[in-house]
Amino acid sequence: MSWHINPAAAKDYVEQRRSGSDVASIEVHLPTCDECRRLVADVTAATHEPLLDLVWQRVATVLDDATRPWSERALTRLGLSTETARLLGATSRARLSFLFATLLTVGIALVAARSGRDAQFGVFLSVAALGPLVATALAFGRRVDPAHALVTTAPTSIWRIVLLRTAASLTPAVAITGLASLIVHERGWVAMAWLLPGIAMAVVSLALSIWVPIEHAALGVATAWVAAPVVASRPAAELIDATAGPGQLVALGAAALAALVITNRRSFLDFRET
Amino acid sequence: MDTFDQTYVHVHQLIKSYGRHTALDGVSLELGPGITDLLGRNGAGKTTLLRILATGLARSSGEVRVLGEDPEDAAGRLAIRRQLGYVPQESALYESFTPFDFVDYVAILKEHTDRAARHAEVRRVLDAVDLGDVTRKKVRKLSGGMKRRVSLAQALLGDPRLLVLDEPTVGLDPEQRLRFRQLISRHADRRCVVLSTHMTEDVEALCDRVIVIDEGVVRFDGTPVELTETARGNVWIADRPEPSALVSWRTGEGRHRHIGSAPADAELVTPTLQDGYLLLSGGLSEEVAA
Repeated sequence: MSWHINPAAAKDYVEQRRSGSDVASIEVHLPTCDECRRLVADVTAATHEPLLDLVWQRVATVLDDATRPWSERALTRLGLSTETARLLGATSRARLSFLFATLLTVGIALVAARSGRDAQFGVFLSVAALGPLVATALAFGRRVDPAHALVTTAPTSIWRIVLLRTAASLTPAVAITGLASLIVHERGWVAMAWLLPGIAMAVVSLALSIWVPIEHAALGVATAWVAAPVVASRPAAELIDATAGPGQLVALGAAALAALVITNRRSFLDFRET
Repeated sequence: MDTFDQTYVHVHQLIKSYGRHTALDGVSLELGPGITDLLGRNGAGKTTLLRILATGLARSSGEVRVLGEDPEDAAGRLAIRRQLGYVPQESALYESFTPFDFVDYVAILKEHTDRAARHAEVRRVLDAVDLGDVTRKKVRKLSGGMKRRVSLAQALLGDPRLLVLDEPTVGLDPEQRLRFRQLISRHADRRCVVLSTHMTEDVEALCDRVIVIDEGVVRFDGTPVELTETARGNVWIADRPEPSALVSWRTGEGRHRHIGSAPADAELVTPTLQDGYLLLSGGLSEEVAA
């Protein structure tokens, strides 16, 4: 017999696209012809090995996904990519501690605020505004991130990491405190007057982190915020009015200024360490 | 051709100060392919120099080029970071992560965007440091040596052109150190590795070059053999201690080894790298004594 299987026919045969009579003919021929057996073996390897690699990679990915921490799986269910979830999962323990502290602090402040007296409600506003600030301070830095030295020498933008982690801490903190504000709803929108100063303080501390470690920046801003009513030495009702009135504009201005500084100077952050 | 084909690191009159303390005081050196060890006491300035090379710390003054780029320039810094593997001295891991999770996390930071390819690379580097069997064990359950190997694995991601390793062999047992030598020597065939280690046996076995730093100044720059030779004629064995010797200790055979002065009946012996380092640094430092 002098015929040989051509490469196209061999490929069709391997991929099971030949008719029954062709297959029978090829299979009768193969045991008698070394050349065609080699051809079919080569085509089989070329066709199936990449497929096997692909299947293996998919199996490995499914196994990898199955063993991811629950916090990361929860974040991917919320729509985040697995990469973003992993970047956030790295410091999830710090964020969980913070959330617990937020719940506790807001709870204590609420008990005080429910008494209906201005002084206690003022304490609630002060404490609630500190939430976003603390969330930001816990988002980054050597103290909350054991692998900080690796994060700051990797090619990924440090600002991306900072903003991602800040958002991840800020969102639940604002949500919890926002829900708490509903409990003192009889005060009207003033119950939410902490939100803008809180976010402004967070942005200001981020801007200051260009020059000093973010924990120091946040501590300084928090001290100023807590000390201001003491220094002002005005009745609680006046302080609440000031927070809900001109204080909102001041907070907006401070946040805008800090955002401007961040936009212009952010490249310094990843190389500031001393 | 740009200069960094052969000169991976160029440092000239580098000064780094922390307030009044000067950690590096006019350091100049050039590094090419191969393995260079920084040797010196704790606080000598080794870690500061490594952090500057790894783009984790800004210099106070002087000139630094890493892989042909200036770390002070944002674009240059990014280019360096894309070709860098770094094991920091204090490389703590996330305890709740597995080795796989942690190395995958660093791979994401290193812009390995394709998930399947990234996971394959993570498995490759974990296998390279013999952690293929514990990829799913929590980091908190690993020994100190295993944790150090996880740190080393992340540094190998992407086969970087420059490896900066700050005390990479701390916590490794003798067998693991041997494997570390094999791994790093294979990598250094076509790469630049700069490390700090106090293990003088590792330096002798592994490094092409040794740089001794003391109080922020380069005291010696040469091969391990050259450093060893600086002690020739100054190392003695005797039956009794010699108080005037620079360094003196009792050996396992019950005799006394002296560097510097020796008793009249002492025999001159062949020096080791450690002898050379001790003679150069003027005596026992805390770390060598340990």
